[in-house]
Amino acid sequence: MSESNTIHLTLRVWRQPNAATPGRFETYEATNISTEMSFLEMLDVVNDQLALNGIEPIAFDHDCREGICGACGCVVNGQAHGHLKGTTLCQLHMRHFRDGDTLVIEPFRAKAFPIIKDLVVDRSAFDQIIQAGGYISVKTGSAPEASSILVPKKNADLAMDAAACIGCGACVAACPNSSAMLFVSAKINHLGQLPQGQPERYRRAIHMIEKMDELGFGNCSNHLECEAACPKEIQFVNIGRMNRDYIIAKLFHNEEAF
Amino acid sequence: MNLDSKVPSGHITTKWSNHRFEMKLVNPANKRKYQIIVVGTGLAGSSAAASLSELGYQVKVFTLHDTPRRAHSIAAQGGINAAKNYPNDGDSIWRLFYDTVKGGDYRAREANVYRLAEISNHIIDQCVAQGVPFAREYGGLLENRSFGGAQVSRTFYARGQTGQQLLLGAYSAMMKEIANGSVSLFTRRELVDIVVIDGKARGIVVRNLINGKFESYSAHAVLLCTGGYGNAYFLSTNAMNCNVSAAWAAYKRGAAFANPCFTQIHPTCIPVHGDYQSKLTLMSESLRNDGRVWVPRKQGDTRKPSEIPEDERYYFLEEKYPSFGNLVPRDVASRNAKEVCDKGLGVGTTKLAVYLDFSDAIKRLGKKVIEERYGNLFDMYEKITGVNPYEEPMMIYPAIHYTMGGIWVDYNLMSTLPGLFVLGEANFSDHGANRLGASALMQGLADGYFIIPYTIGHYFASNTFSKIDETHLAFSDAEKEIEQTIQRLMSIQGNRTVDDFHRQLGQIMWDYVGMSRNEKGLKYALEKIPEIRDEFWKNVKVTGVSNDFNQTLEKAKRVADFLDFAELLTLDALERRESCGGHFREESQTEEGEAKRDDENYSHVSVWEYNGPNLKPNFHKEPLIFEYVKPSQRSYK
Amino acid sequence: MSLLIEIFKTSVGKKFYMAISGLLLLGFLVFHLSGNSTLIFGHETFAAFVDFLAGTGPLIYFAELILALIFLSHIFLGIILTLSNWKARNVKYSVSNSRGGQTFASKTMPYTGFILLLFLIIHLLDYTITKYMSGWDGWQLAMHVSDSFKNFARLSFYIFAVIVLGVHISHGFWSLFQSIGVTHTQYTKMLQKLAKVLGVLFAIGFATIPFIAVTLAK
Repeated sequence: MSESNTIHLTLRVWRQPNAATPGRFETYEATNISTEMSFLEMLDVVNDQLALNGIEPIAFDHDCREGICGACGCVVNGQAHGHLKGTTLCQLHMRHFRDGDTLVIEPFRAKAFPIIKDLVVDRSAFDQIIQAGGYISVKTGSAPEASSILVPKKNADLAMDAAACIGCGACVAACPNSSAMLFVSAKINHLGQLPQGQPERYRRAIHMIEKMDELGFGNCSNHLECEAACPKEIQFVNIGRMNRDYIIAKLFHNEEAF
Repeated sequence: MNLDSKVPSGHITTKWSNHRFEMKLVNPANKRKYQIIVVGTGLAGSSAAASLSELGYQVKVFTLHDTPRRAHSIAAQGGINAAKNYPNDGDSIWRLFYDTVKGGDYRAREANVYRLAEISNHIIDQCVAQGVPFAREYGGLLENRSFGGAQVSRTFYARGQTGQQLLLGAYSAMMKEIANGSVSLFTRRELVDIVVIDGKARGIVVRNLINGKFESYSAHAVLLCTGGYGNAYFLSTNAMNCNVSAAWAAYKRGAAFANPCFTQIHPTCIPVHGDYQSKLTLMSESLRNDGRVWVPRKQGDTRKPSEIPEDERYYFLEEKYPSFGNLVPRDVASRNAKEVCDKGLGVGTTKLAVYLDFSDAIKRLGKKVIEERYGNLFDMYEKITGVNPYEEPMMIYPAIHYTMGGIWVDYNLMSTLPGLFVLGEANFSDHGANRLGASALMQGLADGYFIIPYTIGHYFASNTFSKIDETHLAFSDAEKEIEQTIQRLMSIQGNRTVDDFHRQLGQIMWDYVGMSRNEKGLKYALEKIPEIRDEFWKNVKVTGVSNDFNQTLEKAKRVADFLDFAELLTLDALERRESCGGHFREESQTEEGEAKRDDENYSHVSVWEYNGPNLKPNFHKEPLIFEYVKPSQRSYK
Repeated sequence: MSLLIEIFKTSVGKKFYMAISGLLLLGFLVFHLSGNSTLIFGHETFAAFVDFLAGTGPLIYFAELILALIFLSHIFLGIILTLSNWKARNVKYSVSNSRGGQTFASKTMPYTGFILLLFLIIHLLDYTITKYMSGWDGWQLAMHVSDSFKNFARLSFYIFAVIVLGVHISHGFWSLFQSIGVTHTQYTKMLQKLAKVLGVLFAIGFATIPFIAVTLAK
């Protein structure tokens, strides 16, 4: 373990009882925070103190605490998952903060992600987008022998790069337009890179994009904030490739038109 | 209690195919008349929901997460085994079967394990077709690697995120069915009870985690796919929300619990760094391929590792096990790490850690090779600890990782409560006393994709069902009962937080029911656990209100169940006076200090039947007979 | 045709049109800049060029109509997209900090766009509309151009506007390729650099015109 220190922080945390009630910032002191703690462990410590003082703890989503489930995430000092590149909030450790820092902690903000409570938001819009076509239609039992499908290594690698998305929503939170393009394009490109994904490639692009629009996400202005905030460092070229698939799909593979 | 395993007759290689033919079928047109509840959306739950919906059943899926893509299956790093024998290195269904039975230290049902090995190949086909981006060779074919000490390369993997990719595959299959309208998804719902009508599981009561309201759902069968109970130890590699509550509810409603003491400890986890530690992070055990495990020979040696000369370092695994060295199985590596730390040789601030040193490997192979092999793991380690493992040895310590025990199920995956099926880690079926690396993913998907779709049909076709819905009194009774429990929790308003109790329980479990267990310690734990429980129900503080989004309350309910369950786990550990797999009883060891199985007295599944609150559960045995793989004692010397 | 309207309905489609219209407008700017550059050779050359364009008769009207449509669609889409983007972030962050993705240009696209719209209106009023209303020929227009830039306020506004144009192009040029799906891990980075160069070139190019005009008038 590296040298362990303790630091004191001031937290300004967004508290909101539910979607219908307006929220506000509350200020809490986080004292004796070990620099070995993760950000969420720091919140645990603050919450324990709040609870013992009869104040309801800060609600926040979290689960695996090893950066893979995608449950956690809030905006720390204006940055989704905090300032460390390629890192989820649960993997952000307190040694990256300085004694005396003030941290402003807000939920992911987007019209498509309504607040449930405090820092907890409803990201079910992502599920709806996947339901619109983020899959390969193969029924259990009907799959051919695995080695009969050849996938060039490069495609497998590109597909894996895109498939690494954990669906945390940081891209939406970081985008000035609350756009979900990085999330949607990651799924479209994961499947679009693979031979298995080809039969539904264009249909998938059309349906997922239309669903994304319907759910109230913004448009892409190519700010690239999504890429910069993505804890899995998914690249913005996915968005360009998705745009290409969509245009080709609409102009040349439109099932309704032909 | 009738513990009929329903293992079909015939030779082991034909049991499953014969059984599939002998099982009754449900007419395609009638399938939509059957409703199935699936609780949990990990590999087992998602794959089952998708497959059953494809067959035409009406499926309702429940998860406590905000989306079904978060279950802890997602965190599995290493890979998934299958007997494809693509590398031509001598693998076969029989060898996978053999390795799994042997690896489980002869405490699993042979027929189940053989079926698992048989199905393994179909799983890979299925996942590839779904678009799971498995690693490929330049020729476009699937790549395999050897994993967890296996002598053949049978592990398929997707970088270090195999669990994630398989889960997303199953999730997307389920999403497809949701779009088709035959799966209904209920997120942020936690199971609080199982409703039994006419002796059959006919529905569930869940708590809506957003508004705290109870909701009832009826069905013709209930599938529990709710994972393991490693969080009974507070610190484990499990996700924060993993819990035993659903399994415990099933147990209290009549589903027997099997082998709860079979817990697996993973040797290479990042050590505990303080009281505030909320969970432990696992590092792939592939690290032991090149890392050397050691501690200083001298007690209380505070020198930097680089300042300790070679002859003052104790490479305990290499010295004790010259032929396997650092690659001994998980349980052996874990126990030895604990042993040296108990002797006061541990390192780090807590003295509960051993070094995993790569300096020799870096000298021998160069930094570049090590970076290629373990770069992402080294980065992860540095991210968490702030220490650069290229320069300083890593520190590791064992942690609870997986639980082999679970709800007892027969060959059809049905528990002793008719209509309640249990899949994945939540059941006890396939891993015996120890699970091999890359086998958990295999089992979850085998249960969901390829077993339950057959066996549930047989259950429907061979039973009659009375017409019931959520207005049945049994539902409102169950709701009232759970409401009382919740109100009781809310009304205590004591002085200690929920985590405080959970931590205290975890410490007792880790110290006395952890890596190595003895009668005295277990009996002590059996005294302590009820004490903690009593204090919990007198002095816990649950803030907020019950009819609201209240994470403290969620946690309190789970910890309350862990406090009950921990006693059963300990009881089981006390009852099994032999060492096997992940269960090490100090009374049962060889002269060299190795685990000693007692096949004469303990070749059985220990099955526990609920007997009412505060009463000792009834104990039953399901004998295990080994016709095809003859038990032998493990040796890694 | 219906397909083209279909596309228009989605976010990606709107951006596609935004990109195509932006690309066409860039083409127009190249033409406009080269036309204006005739001033370098004196009022006569410029006047001759203006008269030549006027002499094409219906062709120039048609071209101007098309150009107006492109401008209008670019403006219209810009407004729609910006409004829907604002709507998507219905509650603002109290603290917001870039992770390094955004640039000054990308952040200000709607605002630079708005300034350019104001400039366009003034510019049209200044020259195009005045020319038509007054029935001027090329020479009269050339004189008017030179005279107009003697006004320091106008000169400053024009310089400001072409700098804004440069900023707009420095994001718009590479962004449009991304929007139509021409993207690449390496080449897009080159396009990003090229966009900055183009922005500077356009700004300098257009900024020199008023100075030439004023110099000619002396």
